[in-house]
Amino acid sequence: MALESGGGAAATRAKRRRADEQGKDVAEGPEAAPACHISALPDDLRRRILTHLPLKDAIRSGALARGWRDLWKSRWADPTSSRDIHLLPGDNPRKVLESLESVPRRRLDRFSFVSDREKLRQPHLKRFLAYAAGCRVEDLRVDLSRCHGRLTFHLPLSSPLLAHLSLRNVDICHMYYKRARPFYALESIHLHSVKNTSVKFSKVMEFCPRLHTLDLRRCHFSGMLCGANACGPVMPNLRRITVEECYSGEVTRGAVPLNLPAPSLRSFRYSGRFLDCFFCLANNAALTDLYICFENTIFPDPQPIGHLSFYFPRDLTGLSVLTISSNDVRIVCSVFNMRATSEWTKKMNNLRSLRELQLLMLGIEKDSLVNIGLFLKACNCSNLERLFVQLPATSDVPLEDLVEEAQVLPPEDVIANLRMVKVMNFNWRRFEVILVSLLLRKATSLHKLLLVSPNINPQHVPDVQEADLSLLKEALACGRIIVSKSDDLATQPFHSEVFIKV
Amino acid sequence: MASAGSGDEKAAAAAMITLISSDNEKFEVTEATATLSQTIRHMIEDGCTDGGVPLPNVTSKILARVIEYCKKHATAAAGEEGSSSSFSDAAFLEVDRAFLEELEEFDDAFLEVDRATLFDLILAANYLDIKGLLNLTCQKVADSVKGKTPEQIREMYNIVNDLTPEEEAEIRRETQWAFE
Repeated sequence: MALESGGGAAATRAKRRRADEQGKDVAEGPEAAPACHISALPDDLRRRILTHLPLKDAIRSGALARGWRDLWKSRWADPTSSRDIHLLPGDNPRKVLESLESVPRRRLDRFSFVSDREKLRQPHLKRFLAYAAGCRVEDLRVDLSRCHGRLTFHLPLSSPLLAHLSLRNVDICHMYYKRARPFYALESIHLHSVKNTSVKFSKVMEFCPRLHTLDLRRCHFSGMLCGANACGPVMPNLRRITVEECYSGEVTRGAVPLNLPAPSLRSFRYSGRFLDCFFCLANNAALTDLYICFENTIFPDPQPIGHLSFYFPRDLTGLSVLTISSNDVRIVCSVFNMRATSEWTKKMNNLRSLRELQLLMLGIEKDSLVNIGLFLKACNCSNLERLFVQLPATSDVPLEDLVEEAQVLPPEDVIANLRMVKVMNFNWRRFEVILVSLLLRKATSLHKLLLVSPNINPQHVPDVQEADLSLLKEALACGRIIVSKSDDLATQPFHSEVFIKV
Repeated sequence: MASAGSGDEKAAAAAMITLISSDNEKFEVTEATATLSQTIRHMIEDGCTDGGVPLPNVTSKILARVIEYCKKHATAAAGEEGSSSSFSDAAFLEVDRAFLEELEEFDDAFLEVDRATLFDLILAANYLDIKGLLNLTCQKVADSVKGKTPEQIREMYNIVNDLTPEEEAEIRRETQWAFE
């Protein structure tokens, strides 16, 4: 059968593919098996194939090649199988609902409901959500950021095919419902500004046995898990947790706000105030990437240091990417200085697998350089290859009494494998020049040092030893250092999303 | 190809349709078999099947397979009609279930073909508008890519990735949760 019969764009593509194939055949010799071109099927047939897949697989097909890019979006209906409802302040929800319900329901991939109205009644929200459930949506987004008053979302009434759920400023209702069934397709939950009790949240998690990603931003958890509830549901598939600016009650003996044993956890990102939100993670999880940014400095007294275990699982030897703020570096160093041999220091003492480190400098103090040096030494991260340093954008206090260079050296073997360094917000300040010249001297394998700076030409730096500055200028001249005004998108840290403004 | 099965000679004598493949091979099938294809059903209704139905988009190799599918499923359809009459006792249900199982086995065996044939079957099922066959073959392709990464699928189906790294990153960013 001639594939060209598909007509139009598909046929052109088929011809092009065929030409490609011929070129390839010549290269590979006559024995090469003829390629079957799934991409050469007409669009409507490829859409039909996509309707036989769960949404996640259908979306992934978009990354195959250009001809597949947006095809999945129209798999249930052309031009799109996604429905976006955006209520503006003047809109009448009842009328929107009536027009929505007046046409027969069909399958939808995605339903997005955003309301800019300050007032929305619960029965109306319920009807919008019932409509989405009736269309068996797999990706549901509800955003009521402008809405005053708290409305609730009732998970058990949702589409059983739900794979991705995103809620903003709407609370999750109790799970009590006699026909409630687990959501076996639900893999990803993103909550923003959601208020919840810890017990309720644990119940919701019980109904999501296949959850893979949990993203919590500015959520508030109240109450405690204690007694029979203290150990939350085990989440065997949970691999990624993000907690940003969340708040929960304080830990007391025998009661914790959130407990999610996740033995498969690989990625944990926490940004917020120290002690604001607790997550009891599986102690035996083998993290591969960790992002920890405490926004406040804490003074190292034994009580909160003991609580650090909440943020770090027992074994960090498999960790390959770490992002950490200057406050945390300070905490780590304080702990080491105290020579406390807590379980926690042992954890931080062995980061042999670490390949990439990102330092978020929330502020620069006179001992910052010393701390960085101490931290690198203490962590034993001798396989470190990439270092990213985010300097504060605003100018700092003069640092006349910056600790002398000799004391801040990280031992050579710690950064012997460092190949790439990128410094953001480089401003030719004294601290920065010393840091860069130190790296130039000590990192013997370093072959690329990127500085993102508003001034691409060396500036006058008072109180810097001439040797340091000339070393910098020399490296600039021979291309070892590259200074650019704009950020280079090709060289981004693994944790490219930084939650706070540095 | 031989005419329809022994059981319905009367029907065969009453209405046989000739299908002509793109390479000019003629296939005689019963009307019941042929009308599983909505395209042919409409042609019959319009009375334009005298002298055979030319199917310029279907080769004899593929048409033979399609007819094999239609014959099996036409018998199944006939069986269903029979059982929906006044007989609905346990014995009939039992026969039905056995028949459905047999049909499922037939479908599974039918799909044991190479990829080129599978795609040709999809195109033929679409052109001839045979819903069951179209669903069956599309499901087979879908099952083969389910749970796989784009890289694995590309390798499997020799798809050349013509997206730039930036475009690919953008696609992944657009719906990040599906790629996690």
